[in-house]
Amino acid sequence: MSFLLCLRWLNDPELEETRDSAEKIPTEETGKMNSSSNLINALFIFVLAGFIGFEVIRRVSPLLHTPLMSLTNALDAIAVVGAIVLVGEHKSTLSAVFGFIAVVAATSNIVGGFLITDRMLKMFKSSRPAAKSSADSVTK
Amino acid sequence: MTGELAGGQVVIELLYLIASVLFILSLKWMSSPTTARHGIWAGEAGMLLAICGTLLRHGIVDYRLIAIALVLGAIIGVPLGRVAMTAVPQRTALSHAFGALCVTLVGSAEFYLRSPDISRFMMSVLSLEVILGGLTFTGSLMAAGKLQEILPQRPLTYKGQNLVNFILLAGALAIAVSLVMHPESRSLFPFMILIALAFGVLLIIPIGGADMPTVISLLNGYAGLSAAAMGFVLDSKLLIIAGALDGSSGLILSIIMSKAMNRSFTNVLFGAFGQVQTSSAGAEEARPVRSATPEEAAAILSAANRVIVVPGYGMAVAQAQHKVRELYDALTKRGVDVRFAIHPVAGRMPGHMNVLLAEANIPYDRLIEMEEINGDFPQTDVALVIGANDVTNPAARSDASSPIYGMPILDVDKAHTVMVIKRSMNPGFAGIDNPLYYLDNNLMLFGDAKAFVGSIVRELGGGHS
Repeated sequence: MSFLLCLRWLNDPELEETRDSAEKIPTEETGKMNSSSNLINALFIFVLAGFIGFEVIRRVSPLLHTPLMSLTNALDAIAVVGAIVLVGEHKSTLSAVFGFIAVVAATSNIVGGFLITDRMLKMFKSSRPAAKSSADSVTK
Repeated sequence: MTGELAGGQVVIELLYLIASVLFILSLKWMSSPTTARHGIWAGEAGMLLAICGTLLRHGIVDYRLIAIALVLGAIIGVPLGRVAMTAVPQRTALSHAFGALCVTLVGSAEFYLRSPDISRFMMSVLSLEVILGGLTFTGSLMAAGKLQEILPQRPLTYKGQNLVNFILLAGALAIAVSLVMHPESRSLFPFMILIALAFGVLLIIPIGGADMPTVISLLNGYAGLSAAAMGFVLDSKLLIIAGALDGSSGLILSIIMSKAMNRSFTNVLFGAFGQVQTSSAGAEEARPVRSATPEEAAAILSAANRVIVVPGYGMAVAQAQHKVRELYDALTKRGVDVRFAIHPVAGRMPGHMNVLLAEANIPYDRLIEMEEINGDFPQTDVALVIGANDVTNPAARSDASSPIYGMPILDVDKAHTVMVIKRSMNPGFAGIDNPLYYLDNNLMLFGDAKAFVGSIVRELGGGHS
């Protein structure tokens, strides 16, 4: 409850300000300054995330490489975030149309990717439950 | 956007942070089949948070169109999540294409929205995003077409192929450079994308079916990198993280795949496997081979103590995995120890065989990786090869002139008896003759994999049919 109130409080007072920044048309100088410091931040994040990804994925059992690929595919479709903004802000017809197709493509990856990964992982069974199921078929 | 963040912005960024953590956990839990399904839940939760966070953004005015797009995407996504397990490679390629399409479209829209006011760095990253996205889009579509057999699986090569590809890539990069210098020249932008799209097509044309595992992994990596580039353009940390994770996953898988084929990336992409060998294949057809009937095969199998089954793409094509399961049941009931040897590049994508066998209800602790099981072949009574060819070819160990020389293989020839189920003596996808078939301890079982395994099961008296 209090968290929700907190959300509202955080959201409201800034309405005006963020509307302005949404229509940001950066002037030459500020735009460049911001982008260069953002660039360094972004590079740090990219490199560190790459390391984490490398270490985490190296440990994935080869048994699960196919579900791994369909899962990373679904996660990669987080690009839908950028597409949603394009559609939602509706700054030009072109951007809205491109954004719309992009949202459709990415969402189909999210839905399809998670669905099929789940289906695949459900199939991976260890000997024990499998022994039970073959016992079932004998009793049948 | 830097400096003072508005309060609402902070909440959104925090949601994105939680989503990033969930994404990393999601991949971490994939390390073992026992925790893997938590991984999906974490991924789904992260995705939901990220989408909700985005919808909270103040700039967003048009929710109706977003809702329509989300619903439409879900409608397309559901059947894509329900394809048969044998069709998973082409589905994966198709979803790489969709991901890349999304990235390319967003990148293009951003270019036209910002056009003259783009810093040099931003323009370079944006170019990288749309070039990678564009080539991944068409490249993945081509790969999906080849896997679905809409397009010919044989590699198509022509003289000067690599030169043409190189010129195209150089052309796209040249346009990118000139856009970085003059971001106002909007008319150049579509040409850069067109060239990237054409490059994607031409890149995959010379690649044959057997190389698909590497190519799919590589396209996976490209899709990830282009998403990360999009994160730079949109200044979205979440997107950078997700892209970096996907990119490293694709890279690791590509490395594993190319190691398993003893080839380099450049060789896979520019080598055009399978062209050279077609000439050498025909000469040795006349050598004698021994063949056996289902009754004889069943007798040998039931007398064995240890059996290793080696599945390959042929098993998937023949849809034989369920019959293989019946064989596994029948032999296990007789006290035979049956295991499955999985070569990293068996099938059309990484881990393809594991998924098919798991679908047929074979417990995953019976599926053994190549390095672990190779030492056991000398103590194995029967190695039963179903629809695999090149990954069992002993020429890779001994014949330096063989195109697959040096490729790690499953040492099936060291088993006491080898049985190979095969339609005919035609060489496999790569068109390479397999000396295994002429060995004294080898028996050819000619026929369709599904039908043949079915008749062995009938002989063993353990079939369900």
